[in-house]
Amino acid sequence: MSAVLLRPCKGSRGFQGVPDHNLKLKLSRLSNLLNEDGFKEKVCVDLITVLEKNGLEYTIYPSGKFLIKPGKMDGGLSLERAENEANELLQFFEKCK
Amino acid sequence: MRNRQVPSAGQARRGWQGMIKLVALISGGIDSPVAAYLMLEKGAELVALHMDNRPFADVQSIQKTFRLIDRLEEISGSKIKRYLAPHGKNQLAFTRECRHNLQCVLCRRMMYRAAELVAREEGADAIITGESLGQVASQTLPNLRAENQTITIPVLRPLIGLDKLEIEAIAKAIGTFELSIQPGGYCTITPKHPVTASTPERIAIEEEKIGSDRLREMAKKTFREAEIT
Repeated sequence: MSAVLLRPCKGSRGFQGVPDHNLKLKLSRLSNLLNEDGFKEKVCVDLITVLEKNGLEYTIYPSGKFLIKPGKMDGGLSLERAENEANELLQFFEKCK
Repeated sequence: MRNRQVPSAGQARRGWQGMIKLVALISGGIDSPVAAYLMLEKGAELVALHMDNRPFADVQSIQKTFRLIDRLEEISGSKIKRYLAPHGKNQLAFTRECRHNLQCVLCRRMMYRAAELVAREEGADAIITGESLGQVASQTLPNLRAENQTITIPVLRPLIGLDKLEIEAIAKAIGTFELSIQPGGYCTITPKHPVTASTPERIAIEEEKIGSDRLREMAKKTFREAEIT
């Protein structure tokens, strides 16, 4: 599985990720797995889950679309780091399809 | 549309000075600062209310909103009191318990409730919003009707008949446009297919799932926990 990363708008500090095909993720299971890996769950409902890890905020939808953005007031997110984070997320997505 | 020039500090018109106090719901977008400006221009006193949508919005939206209010203060030459009210938990409750395609209408009704509480606290006469008819799903006439019917205080919509280009022209003239188009601020919990023609009856069914007492308590909590600056 792979994903396209794009900045939602010019100057955005975060990235939107779109997997190469639509998924039907079980967000509660995904959130549990991510929690075990050090992510901190902020919200998890059927339609959306929001997690935090290392100063980044991750918003994930059942279709597999996701947002990764800095959770703190300052700083941006480099494409390289976003790619690493996205690859990590995709591995978890594989387990929750 | 009449031509507008960039006003300098304190040059806004003062026709209603000392006569009207309003609560302006201000987001980090283009429209609501323009709506607030139009009333400031008339000399109305403003109190700003921003609904903090985190974790369903970026912290940048708060920074943006405060910069926009700073600009409105520059234009009017007067201090604008700011309320930053937590709204994320309300959004979460609607997502969990109600039909998701009504999220935007339910969200706006809760914003109005919180704004009405702020208005009572501040002795304000009405609420101002940046709604423009038909611009987005929550701003159709049936949805505006459904949204209105939760409060008793008047809701003023100075932009209701303007189109986006007209609103942008004012935003550019008053110096808020460049601030509004900075990144951040979009809501991540909007439904894919929002309802464009809700009815008060349909909304009542959804809100009954939460319960009127709890809804009132949610609004009060949102108001009580607001940060005031």
